[in-house]
Amino acid sequence: MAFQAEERFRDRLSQRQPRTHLMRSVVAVLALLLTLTACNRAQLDTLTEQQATLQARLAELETQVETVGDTLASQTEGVESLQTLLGDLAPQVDTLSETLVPPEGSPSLTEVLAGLESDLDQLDARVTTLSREAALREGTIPSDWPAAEALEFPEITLSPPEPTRVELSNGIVVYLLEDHSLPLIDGIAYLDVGSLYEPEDKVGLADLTAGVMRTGGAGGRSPDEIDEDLEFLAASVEVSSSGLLTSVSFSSLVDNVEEVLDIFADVIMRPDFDEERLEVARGQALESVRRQNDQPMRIASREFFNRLAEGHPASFTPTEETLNAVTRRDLIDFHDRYFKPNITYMALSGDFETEAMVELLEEALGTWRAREVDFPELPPLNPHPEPKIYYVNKEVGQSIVLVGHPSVLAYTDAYNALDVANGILGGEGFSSRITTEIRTKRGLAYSTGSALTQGFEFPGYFYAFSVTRVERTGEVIERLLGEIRRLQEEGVSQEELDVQRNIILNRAVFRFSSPAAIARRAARVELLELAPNYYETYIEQVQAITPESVQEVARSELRPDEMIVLVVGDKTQFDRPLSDFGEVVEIELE
Amino acid sequence: MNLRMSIHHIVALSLLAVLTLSTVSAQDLADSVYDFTLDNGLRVIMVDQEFAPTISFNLMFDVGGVDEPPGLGGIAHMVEHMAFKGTRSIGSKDPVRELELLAEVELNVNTLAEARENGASEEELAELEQALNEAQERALELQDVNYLERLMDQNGAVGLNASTGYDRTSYVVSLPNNRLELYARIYADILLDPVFRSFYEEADVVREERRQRSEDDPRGALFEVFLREAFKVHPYGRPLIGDPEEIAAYRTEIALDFFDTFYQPNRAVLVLAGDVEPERDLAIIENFFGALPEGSETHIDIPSEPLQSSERRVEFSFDAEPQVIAGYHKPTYPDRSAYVLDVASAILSSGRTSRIYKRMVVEERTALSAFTGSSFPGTRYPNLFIFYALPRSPHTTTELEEAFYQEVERLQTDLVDERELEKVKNQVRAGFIRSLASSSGLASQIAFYELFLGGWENLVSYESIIETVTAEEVREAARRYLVPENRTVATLISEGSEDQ
Repeated sequence: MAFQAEERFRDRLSQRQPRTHLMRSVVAVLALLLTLTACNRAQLDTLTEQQATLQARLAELETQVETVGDTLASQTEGVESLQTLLGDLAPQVDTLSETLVPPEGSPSLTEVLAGLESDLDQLDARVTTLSREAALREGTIPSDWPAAEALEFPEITLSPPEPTRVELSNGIVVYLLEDHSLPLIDGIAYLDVGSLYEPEDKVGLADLTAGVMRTGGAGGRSPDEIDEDLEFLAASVEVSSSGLLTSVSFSSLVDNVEEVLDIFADVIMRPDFDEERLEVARGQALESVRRQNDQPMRIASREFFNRLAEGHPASFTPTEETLNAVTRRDLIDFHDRYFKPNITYMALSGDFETEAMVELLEEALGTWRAREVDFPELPPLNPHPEPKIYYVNKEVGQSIVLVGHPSVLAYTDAYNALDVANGILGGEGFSSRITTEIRTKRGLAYSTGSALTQGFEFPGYFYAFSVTRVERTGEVIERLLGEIRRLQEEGVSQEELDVQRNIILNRAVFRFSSPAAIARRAARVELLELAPNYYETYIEQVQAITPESVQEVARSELRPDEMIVLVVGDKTQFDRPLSDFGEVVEIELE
Repeated sequence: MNLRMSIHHIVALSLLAVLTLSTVSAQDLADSVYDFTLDNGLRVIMVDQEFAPTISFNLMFDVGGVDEPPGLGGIAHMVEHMAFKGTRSIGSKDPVRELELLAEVELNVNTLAEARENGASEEELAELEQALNEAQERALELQDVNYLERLMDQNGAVGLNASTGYDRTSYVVSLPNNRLELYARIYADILLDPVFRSFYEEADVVREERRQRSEDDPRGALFEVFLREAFKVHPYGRPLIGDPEEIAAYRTEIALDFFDTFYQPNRAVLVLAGDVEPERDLAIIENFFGALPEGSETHIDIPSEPLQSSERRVEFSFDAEPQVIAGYHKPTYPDRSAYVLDVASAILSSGRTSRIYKRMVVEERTALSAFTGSSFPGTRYPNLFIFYALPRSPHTTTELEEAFYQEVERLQTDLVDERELEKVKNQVRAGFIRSLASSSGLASQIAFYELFLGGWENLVSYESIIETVTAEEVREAARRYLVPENRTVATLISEGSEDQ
């Protein structure tokens, strides 16, 4: 099978290339002349004359070549003229060969001819340059297309609607944003409680509570009744929990919203925690633990983040033992202790009138009693866990490599600068260094990059990662660490920084892409106790960042020599032993 | 607006309310859609959604895994990756010299391939590989690496991506709406003047993608085994990302040929959903995309899957907990049974009140999850009705299979309850309304309907067809298609447990 791609690439140049090989032929002719250096003095005059003619022709040739550069059409003509010229030259050479007798040597003539040859070389180079310009001009895109980077854009005038903030009688903060484009209403309640508050011997309690709030019946409605009512109305109520937040959401067609809100209120205020449904949820959670090592990715992220947060509740993962320790009473107590209106922040958007909706909410949720919530003291996160190389053995074709350490709190000054540094390093995909170096240039990974997570209450994490064929594992660890060090040692260019700043500035409009996004963000900002103008501050600070400040924050906040490194892979196939990078600890999977 | 307000007061029966509302939404959609066809055949569809000054783009091509020549599995996906490599005017420091160096890379690739074929010595091969690497590095030096993505990103692009399916290839991104001209300039250039630079480096990326999605991931691996068994002739049976040997054999020339054949304006739909101004925007689009020459008609003969006459079963062992997938061959749209089987699938597994969820997850507690789907793995050609489930230990995939077959039998014997049917129809209607709230999701649906399902307008008629599906039809379709001899089953067995 013959592959013609080489020709395809060359075709793109053909017709636009003024046949530099023709110029080469001219040089060859002169080389032939050089062999005729042995001519007698008497013939020198003739020869000099001939040479003058040649030079005149060359001048002519040069003009022709300039024409060549101008347009494709005249270029083709130019090529033809060149051929004609060459044709004219040939008999002259013949004549010279006949009239000259070899060989007596004539240094001065050699010099003249060498000069001539050098002229031709220059000419040749010029032809190449001209031809490139011509080729570019004569590309297949229309000549009136502007360069992509030269485009200018009208300013966007952004006037996003502001949600209305209301406080219900029991302290629930609600942000409401009307949107009458579709007959839908969506809402969410964020509660300032999550799995961080569950005891170490009952890890999984927050998730089970959230799950069974929804599935275990509420306010005297049976589990089946709730499912049946919601699904017949094509509506939904869902509860989910994360480390710091529990959210209870609903979605309804406008005409059923009262009914759906009633169920929503029952689920959030009066869950019945049906024993049988708890068993279903527990069984699911246990099966999920049984399957927790099925996917290499899942192993890697669990083990890595557990090491980063060692000793902190953020590192706890449910086991058979902790899940089996949870009782129905625990769910009731957890709900009773934390699910209070005074730590609840809601967002509603859709086809309603704000005042009427506030009345509905007051009706549905007003009887929910406020009570001060007694939060347990969270231990501090160790900012400097001991650097180690953790290894998990798994027979796979690819290693998953993660390197990182705890970092800073979200939206602090250090975070705002570090966020930009991380964008340049690996946080902004194809606009960042790690993706360019590891994926695009070397084909070492499909998934690679770096991240800076947003830490609220306790610091977020900085980490870099790559999923790479096993036999390049060591190389990829080296490259990830190398890019972090390069950021510290060499800093960044103004151009790289500008790219990141533009990304942040120009994407800001997407923060207002839907009524739900606007209302929800307002609710979360208040729950997280962020300053209402935190994002404006962030944008301002990002604009003020210099290459020096990026390098500075990279030096002070990134610690390539104190990384937790985690590798899931098959060490028998690694290119380098992991011990090259530090003390190795093997993690045995359960 | 007034119309909808008046409807708010009808309420009475919630069912009636749902019905009428959706009719209004269908009209709303029709009122906000503008469609055009450029002279070169490119269809441009705009959906006016004014909330934010942004536009979601979906440029979808009538080309996918099914169009690949035999032996070139995954080339559609490879070409999708290459489309982001830029053009002569986007992504190069010196396009002319770069093209020369790229030509040299190709020469080196050919020399190396020939040497391999002729059984050259290890040493010779190492030397040639070294020469190839050097040629690649020289070409790379003249490349402005990832420039296209950077240009998009710094202009505020969100969700810049592409995906290849068996049926279609789709390029998506959202931009602030003042960047429409940039979008048109870049994407029209890609279609007119692409440069497939760094081709062999990207083939390595694709190889990594395959390892990640299909080799080290149990579900990816199971689905590949399953499809190979279910489709013996039709290309739905081939891995979408290609086999490792196929990926290793990709050549720039082949990818360019594939691109030239299929990336033609008459095989594409460009959808813009968001804050558009149809007349002004169309002029901008026409200015750039209008420069594309009219493509020729290409007809690909895709072989039909012969009728299956007996059950096929396949097992494979993997270092993971067990899973099972079963599938039945069935027709696709616009065949009426495709709609009927959509309803059957919803009755079986959509939501907590569905039959399979209630039985396997809540009552018998044999499954961690159980799911059915009615158009797998594509929609352009006759496809599969599938069942996919993960057992809860100590229960087995066999138990789940048996329970599923009993549920199928129930569908074949008893008529489904009217309320059950009504619930599914309500959900389809509400689902349609919800789909209108998302610009990127809507753009994707509109593009797909326009290319393959007879026009975007049919997106609106889908629910009205579902509306007419009867309990008798569900029973009939289950009897006709969900039968053992039409079935393929693939099971993932935990490594080391085969003897148990």
